[in-house]
Amino acid sequence: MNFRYSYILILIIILNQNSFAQEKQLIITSGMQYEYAQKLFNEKDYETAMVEFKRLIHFFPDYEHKDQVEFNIGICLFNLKKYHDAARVFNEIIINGKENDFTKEACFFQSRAFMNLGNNGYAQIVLQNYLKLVEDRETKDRIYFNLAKIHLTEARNGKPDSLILAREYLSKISRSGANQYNSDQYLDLIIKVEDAPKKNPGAAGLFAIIPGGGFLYCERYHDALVTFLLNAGLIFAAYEAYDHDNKALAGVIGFVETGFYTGNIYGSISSAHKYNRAQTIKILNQDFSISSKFDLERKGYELSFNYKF
Amino acid sequence: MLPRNKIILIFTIFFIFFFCETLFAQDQNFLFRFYQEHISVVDGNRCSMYPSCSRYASRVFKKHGPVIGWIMTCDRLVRCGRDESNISMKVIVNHQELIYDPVGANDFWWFKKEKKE
Repeated sequence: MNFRYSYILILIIILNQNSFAQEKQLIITSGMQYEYAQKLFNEKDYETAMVEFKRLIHFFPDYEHKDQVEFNIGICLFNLKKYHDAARVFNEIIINGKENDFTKEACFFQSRAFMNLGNNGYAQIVLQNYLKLVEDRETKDRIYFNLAKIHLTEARNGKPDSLILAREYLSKISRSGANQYNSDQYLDLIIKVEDAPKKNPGAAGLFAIIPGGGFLYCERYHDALVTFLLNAGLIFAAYEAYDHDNKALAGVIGFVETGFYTGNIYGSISSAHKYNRAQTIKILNQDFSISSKFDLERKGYELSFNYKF
Repeated sequence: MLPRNKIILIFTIFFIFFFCETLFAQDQNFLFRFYQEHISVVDGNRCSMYPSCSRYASRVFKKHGPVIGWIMTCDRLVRCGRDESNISMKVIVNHQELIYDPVGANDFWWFKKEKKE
């Protein structure tokens, strides 16, 4: 009797273990892996999401949405501020040359990655190269706007001629694109910068014939006074030395004075240029800021603007 | 034929120019190094600009040679501190707020305009 019960008990245990083992078995498909990685991505856990996306590519190299996965890896790196690595990943997507939205977005993101690395030159080249390949008006407008944005950023950093280039690109945007990107506001801003009171460098140099005059014109009153007193003092000293038949001393003082006098002219011209540049930077910093982001949840690219009227 | 004193003068000017050209073309020439290592350390660094006037002079001589270098150095000495603070950026160096005025901020207007596409 006891033996029979024991037999039944053992049978139950074995069967139960078998069913338990069956429950523990799990086969992860590519879709499940992608969903999990995407979930982490949406939760903005980019570090882990990137690992999971990489795992997906490793175990499922023929995954049908491989392009999107690679693009997402780039976005993860971008959001982790690893711009150099992100640019490299986007570059691979661009080189593959598939005609899809990911290649398009990769160009824009690579450009932004270079901008964040402080390399505006590369950021422009990426977009200009892409501009040669695209034909649809919408993408062209977006490229023009982004190029204008890069030049406006450079203008804020004081790079000469950036405003002219920014205006050129903004004026190339179509009417529908202009409404979409509010490019007219930026054109108005550029006009505002151009109409701001400026100092003429030539006039500054001319005024500097009288030491300190150029600085006075550029509203640098302390510098003007110092320049005037220094030059007047040195000219007087040179004259006195020469008058007292001390020609060697007069020569040395004259040599020093020549430097300060020409320096006064140079400084006046330079100050006018610096004044104009400072005005540009001041207006741009007051009135304009742009931020952009790519929203994968809504599958869209967002640009936000701050413009003070 | 030129008088003897004029020939001497021409040779002297040529010698000074050649001397300056070779002297200031060096990476960190000994005049500025001597000033920075032996005079400035005793006198105290009071320059309110970054880079300091001596370092600026060293760089500008190296970049533009003795003639423009001398002119730009004199200009910088006059501008040191004061009104420059109204239009230039500030940087914190060794817990001290200084006016950022590198060579590039004073010769940027020399360079040619970018080619339009």
